[in-house]
Amino acid sequence: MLEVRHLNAFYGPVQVLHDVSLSVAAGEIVALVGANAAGKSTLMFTLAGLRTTHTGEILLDGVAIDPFAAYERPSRGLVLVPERRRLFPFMNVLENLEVGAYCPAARSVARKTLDEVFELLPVLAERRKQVAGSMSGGEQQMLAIGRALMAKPRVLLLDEPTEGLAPIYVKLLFDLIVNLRVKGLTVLIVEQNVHHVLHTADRAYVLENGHIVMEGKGSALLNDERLKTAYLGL
Amino acid sequence: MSTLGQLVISGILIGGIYALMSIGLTLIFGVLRIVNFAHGEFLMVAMYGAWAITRLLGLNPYVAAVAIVPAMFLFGAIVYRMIINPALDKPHLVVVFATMALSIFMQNVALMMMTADLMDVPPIFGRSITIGPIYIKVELLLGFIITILCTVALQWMIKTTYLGKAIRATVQDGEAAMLMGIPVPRIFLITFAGGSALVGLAACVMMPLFSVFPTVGLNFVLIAFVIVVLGGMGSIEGALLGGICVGVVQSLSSYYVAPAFGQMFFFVLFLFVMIFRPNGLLGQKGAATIGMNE
Ligand SMILES: Nc1ncnc2c1ncn2[C@@H]1O[C@H](COP(=O)(O)OP(=O)(O)OP(=O)(O)O)[C@@H](O)[C@H]1O
Ligand SMILES: [Mg+2]
Repeated sequence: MLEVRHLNAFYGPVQVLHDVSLSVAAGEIVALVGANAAGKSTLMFTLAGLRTTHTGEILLDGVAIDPFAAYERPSRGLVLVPERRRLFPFMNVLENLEVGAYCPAARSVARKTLDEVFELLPVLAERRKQVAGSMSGGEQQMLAIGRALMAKPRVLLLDEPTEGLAPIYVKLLFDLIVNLRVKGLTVLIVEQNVHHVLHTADRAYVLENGHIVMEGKGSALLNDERLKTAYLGL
Repeated sequence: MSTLGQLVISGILIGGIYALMSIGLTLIFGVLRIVNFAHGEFLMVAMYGAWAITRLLGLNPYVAAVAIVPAMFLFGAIVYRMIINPALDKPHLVVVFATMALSIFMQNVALMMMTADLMDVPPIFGRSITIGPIYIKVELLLGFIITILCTVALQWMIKTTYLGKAIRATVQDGEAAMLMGIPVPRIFLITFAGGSALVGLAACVMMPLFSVFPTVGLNFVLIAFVIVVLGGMGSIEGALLGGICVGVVQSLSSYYVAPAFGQMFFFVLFLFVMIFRPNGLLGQKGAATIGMNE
């Protein structure tokens, strides 16, 4: 469904990603793990069409999405929930969700999607009039995901969704991700919470200094000695 | 007493018209965070347009708005495409100099085409309305009402429509807005063109009250800058309040001191506000933008 081939990404002259290739099949949950500054967020932003210049190919259902600007990608089915949530802080929950459904196709079914999102994330329904900036970290993360779902993505990119969350929210969030997969969504997730994410994901890639150094089934990587010492701190 | 009342009322009404002329500037600043130094020349061009329609077609400036407002929207869109957009990702001074150059260019083209003569339109309403001892010029009252309607409509648009929400989202987090599928470059274009259209409307409202000449923009843009900063840059209600303050101060000081000092007094007022409320009357600290509040 999502395929990345020989991707090199640059901030100006500085190359951060080197020959990255990966694929995510329809309905799969794929994790991307790696140390700080490995280039995980860079990869996510590059897929979403922001910040970097790149060479190589990004294909969605076999079609190159490189020619499309960042704001054209949600309507093609690819939506990123960026690092640190990035809500619209002075807008309320409902407005944030409405903005999520900005692209025409999503807007025409926004009302129905809204009901689905409220059903999936009841906390948002209770707080629909609350200003986003005044919500707790966990609630904000739920809103960030809800807002992305409003765009009706087929592939959801999540960048560190559990960052700074209380354990109860971490569990809620992983349940939610499994739930989304059941609904047919394809997910690529970046996580520091390696243990948790490898249990949930079907497959995982390990990124180190901008190179993919390992790939495999989530459960297999969990038992990998090299990964254990490098990232799990065991 | 009735003199004072007369001065205050006239000041409020003219202040409303000043506000209308400033809203476009504050809107553009609030969303794009750029100052259009050719704002006064946009007003000048639109005033010539309203003048031409009135003189050549025998219509009046209010009717001319039907053509001038969309024409200025288009003009704004073209200026955005050709001058503003290419300068946006360059250092901030580039936009400053680019719009200043545009301002001088427009003045000179106007001078060539229209000469330096003052042009005006014939009076539209024969006489003033009187309420007790107070005279109210119909053109002023009409302009004030149009300003209020415009402010309310604009606020409603920003608060409730999809476009308005997209504008607020863009201001609050441009990158996140793009990730949600909002075409931010397009939002900028619409805002710049919309701000220009508002100047066009202001020009039509002002044409019955003022003469037009190639450098007329300079007089008014100074007032507009004061109003925008007074009101809190990017605040639409602030522009209305700022406009009224400037209008009243100018009206009172012109009468009680001397017309020549009118401008001096509102700059003094301006200095005081800047000292005691550096973010403007309604501006929020660090939020010099549209929609940066609930
Ligand atoms: N806008 C930028 N300009 C230049 N370099 C950048 C920029 N953003 C990130 N980098 C650099 O790119 C490298 C990768 O950063 P990135 O944010 O992708 O890492 P990450 O794997 O997401 O790290 P973390 O786990 O801390 O989120 C870092 O060395 C960082 O300094
Ligand atoms: Mg990161």
